[in-house]
Amino acid sequence: MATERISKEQAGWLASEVAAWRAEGLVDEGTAAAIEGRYRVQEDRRGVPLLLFLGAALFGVGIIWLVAANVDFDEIGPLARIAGVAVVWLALVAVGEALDAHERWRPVAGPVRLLAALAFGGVVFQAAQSLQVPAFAPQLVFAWGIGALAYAYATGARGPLIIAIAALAGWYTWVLLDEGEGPSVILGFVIACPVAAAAGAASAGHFTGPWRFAAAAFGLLGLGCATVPDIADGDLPATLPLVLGALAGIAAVAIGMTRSPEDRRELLGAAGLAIAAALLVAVAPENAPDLGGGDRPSGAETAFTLLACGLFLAAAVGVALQGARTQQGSLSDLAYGALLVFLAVQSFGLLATLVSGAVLVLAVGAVLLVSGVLLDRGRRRLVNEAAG
Amino acid sequence: MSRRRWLIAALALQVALVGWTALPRLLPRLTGTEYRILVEPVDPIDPFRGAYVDLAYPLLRESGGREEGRLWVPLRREGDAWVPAEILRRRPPGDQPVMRCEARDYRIRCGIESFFASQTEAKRLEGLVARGGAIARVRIDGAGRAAIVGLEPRSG
Repeated sequence: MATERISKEQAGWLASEVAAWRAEGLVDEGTAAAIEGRYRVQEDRRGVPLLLFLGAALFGVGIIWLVAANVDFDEIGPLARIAGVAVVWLALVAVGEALDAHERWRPVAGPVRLLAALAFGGVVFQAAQSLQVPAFAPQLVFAWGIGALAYAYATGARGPLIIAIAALAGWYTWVLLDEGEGPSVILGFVIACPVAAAAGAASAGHFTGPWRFAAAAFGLLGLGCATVPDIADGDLPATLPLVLGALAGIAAVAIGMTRSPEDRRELLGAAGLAIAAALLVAVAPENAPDLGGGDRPSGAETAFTLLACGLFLAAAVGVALQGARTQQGSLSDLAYGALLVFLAVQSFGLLATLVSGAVLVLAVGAVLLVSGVLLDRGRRRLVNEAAG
Repeated sequence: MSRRRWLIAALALQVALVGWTALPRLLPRLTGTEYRILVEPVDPIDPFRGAYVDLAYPLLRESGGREEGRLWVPLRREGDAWVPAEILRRRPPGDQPVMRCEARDYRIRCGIESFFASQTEAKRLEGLVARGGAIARVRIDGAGRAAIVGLEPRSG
């Protein structure tokens, strides 16, 4: 008979339930023993993977740091340096494959593959350093991200995917800040939101979480910037990269909805967030007072601030709910963190000229409480309808 | 395609990406002709690649309000070294050495503005330059791509 592994808490719950069933005469002793026999308590080793991943991450960062330290081994020569880091990278790829081939060692394959993805970054940076590629070149981070992404999808490993998304997000932000100004940076951020959400919807189950997190982070970052008139002030820029980006976003949402209809609501939410940010950029008041300037806002500025705050609060609540719905705690944490930063920024911003800091915190708290109560009522009604 | 083939394809892509980032500097190293160009350095740090000497070349320090985009910089001989002669929008005819550059972020960049070295070497080079300048050994290929291969004290 096949047995299933369960946690100590689940085993405790099962034992008390089986005892109650026996007391009520629902099952006899033999049946109770057979039910309990189907499950085996799994050893609590949650700390081990955490240690392995943390160790691998630190070791990988150490490899890149060692490249950046450019230690005094000038007699080795630039090509030998590249070869040295490349050997470490390829050895890690091979070890990852060997570990994955054995059931017993499979849990260690994940951290080793994370390490291989970081070591690949080391190869890119070492090659660029040895060949004197000019400093602060964003294409190196792009190459690292794309390489790690290919490796993640080829191996199905989540660690390299997280490295890839972090590197690509870093590269994208770098290029946006380098090339664009306020409105185009905002639009660049929010275009990445539906694209990342669609990538998550199109990916296998354990790959969805990191993409979803990236989508929410870019969306909240872009929308948060759009609530500050100093940044959002300006014409809606119709540059070729942004138009192409917007088209890519629309296509990604359409493809994602076709391939994964169950993620329809999430994809539409991401697209709605991007449209909301574009709307804010379009209606941002010109020559608004500087953040923290304390000047009395005009009627248009007041209307903009209230609209912007409403949209941001709705987006943050949406992300927190999505985190609860998908049981992805990091998403809810991101939403709460974004709310805190938003409150801190707005307490110096236009909202502060409308209401005092204390009233602002009270108002946002009240909005969240009312949202929570309304959502809970909706949930209860759904449960009652399903039961009735 | 099997999982192993996907992995090999991913590794091939990764190697190609390393090549892509390094190729513009690798080609002139392999196929270019070497020139010694006058240089004036400073010394910052790249977060991923460590200490380097930031090099400025006469005439190329600022873009001088030029529109961003491709530029061509022919070199002319000055004593024992070469110096940028002028900045052009089109590649000049003739067989004098020419670098393919770009006007970006208020500077003219030819791919030879950074020289990576260990911390102590970077410090030594900084002192060297402060005492009277340095010469960059630069290789330039037929397409005008330039790569720096060394930095040495300026004689005399």
